[in-house]
Amino acid sequence: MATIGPLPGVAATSIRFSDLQVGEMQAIVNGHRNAFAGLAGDPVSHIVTIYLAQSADSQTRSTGMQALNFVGSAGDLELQSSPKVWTIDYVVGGNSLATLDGVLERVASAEPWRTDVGEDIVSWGIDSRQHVVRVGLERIRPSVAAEAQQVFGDTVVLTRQDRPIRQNSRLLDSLPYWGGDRVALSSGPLTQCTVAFVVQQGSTGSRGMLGAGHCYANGTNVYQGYYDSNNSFHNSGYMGKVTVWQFSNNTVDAEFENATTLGRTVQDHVYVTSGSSKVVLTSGTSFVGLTSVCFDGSFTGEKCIGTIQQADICVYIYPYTTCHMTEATASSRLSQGGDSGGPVYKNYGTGLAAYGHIVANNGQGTDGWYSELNPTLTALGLLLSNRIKSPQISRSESSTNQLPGRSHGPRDRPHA
Amino acid sequence: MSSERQRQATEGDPGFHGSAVSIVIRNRVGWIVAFVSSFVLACSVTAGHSPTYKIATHPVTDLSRQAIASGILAGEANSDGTACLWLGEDSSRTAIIWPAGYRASPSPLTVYDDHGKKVGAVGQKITLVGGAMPAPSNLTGCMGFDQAWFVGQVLGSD
Repeated sequence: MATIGPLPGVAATSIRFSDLQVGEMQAIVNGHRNAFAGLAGDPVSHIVTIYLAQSADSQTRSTGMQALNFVGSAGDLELQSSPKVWTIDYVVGGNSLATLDGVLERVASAEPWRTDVGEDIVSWGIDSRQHVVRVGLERIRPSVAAEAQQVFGDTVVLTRQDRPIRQNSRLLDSLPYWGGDRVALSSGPLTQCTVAFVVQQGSTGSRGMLGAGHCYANGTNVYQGYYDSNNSFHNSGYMGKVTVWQFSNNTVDAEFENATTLGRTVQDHVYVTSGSSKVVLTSGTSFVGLTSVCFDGSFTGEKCIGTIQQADICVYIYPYTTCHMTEATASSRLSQGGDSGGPVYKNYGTGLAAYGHIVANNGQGTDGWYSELNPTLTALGLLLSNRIKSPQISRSESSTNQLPGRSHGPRDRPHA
Repeated sequence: MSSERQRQATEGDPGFHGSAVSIVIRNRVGWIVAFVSSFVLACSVTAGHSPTYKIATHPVTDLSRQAIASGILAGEANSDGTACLWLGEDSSRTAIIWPAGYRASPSPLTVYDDHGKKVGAVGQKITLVGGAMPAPSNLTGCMGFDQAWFVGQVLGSD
């Protein structure tokens, strides 16, 4: 790591700033990534240290400093904010944020490093105090540590980190809802199904979940929740309202559970077990011979043992002939009652490629049928929400198609 | 419909076997038909066998849709020898369409599978695998339903 020392000619200022003003400084630092190496405050001493990159030339550094001078000037919109408790110190040293951006991208995608570290990775992001990329791993194997040193040198620090334990599950979730959630009704036949993936209605922009048409009638408000063995109903509120639905002869067996119309939110992750998830990166088209296809109903859980036997055909399953159906077989159970609507996918990098939703199976669950995703979406006028196309994703995500977050844990959402 | 109901009463339970025996005897020795039939019927009643009702069914296939529904089984018998079973109450009532071979018996109204095994009785909780659909207009024994639930598999009842 580069040497850190006081900035010559730039003395620590005794002027005090508010939280909001320090936030303005953070935004300026973020915007001048060649000039700065980071910003960090000490909550005890209330000193904010702004690091100027060792590698920055005087012109770049000067431009950054001038931008910072805006904070506390007459034009500062937060000039009157209070309380003003922070003083500022300047230090030269460390890798520039721009340099660390490049490291971040390589952490997410460089091979064979990324494959070797596999599912051990929990988080990664810029450490603004140490001016390195800190990578949290569930276990640090010597071979991976050596590889990290070889590939990234001193710009990456590996830290052992436990994967966060989720308080939510696919049975009882919280906003924003994920694919693979259990859904249910509170009256009438107490119908339980699973939802597949987050989709968006092309005509309205409404977001919601893709499910099976034989689960709920058009116009039904569907809960996220489940029934326990005592038949007690546990729910986290409405998942959505069925606003697009097809289930009759020679159509698909699918529906759109519209979350937006009920003020609910969804996110393009899919539960793969009770606590962990994968992000939806893209979609795929099934073909005969495709292997390791995953069925992931909320009753059975993730089973990645399917092999495609027939793709995109029409098949009679009482009471209708249903089209755009694909058959997968396996040596053991792929799905069972309550899995209808559940996601079918293939693992893809650190996320998944969506292939469809569960519709039917034989008595042993070894012959599973799902609705082929892309023609199903076309039939219902829906679009898949996934990271490759998502407009909200950060630059590093879109360029790598790999991981769901830069410096967060696996689940980048707040929870109630 | 009383004759239809009477016909149903001789099908599908142990009383059915007695009737079959009576038919064979009648073909061979016509004059003892009345006596034997009366004897068999008396045995059925003594043994507690009751009439069966025709209920809404669908053809059995190896594949089944995989939604799941549970609830308290409700139903009623009709004077025409049919019965209707459903889940839910009031406007959410959903008629049940059973696999072929299923039938019902009264007191209390109870559903049996194609092997004669009891799968559930009115008032019991029952769990069904299958799916929901708009109720067909010609649903055996059931009228006035908007929604139906077709059964692929009965998971169990209390």
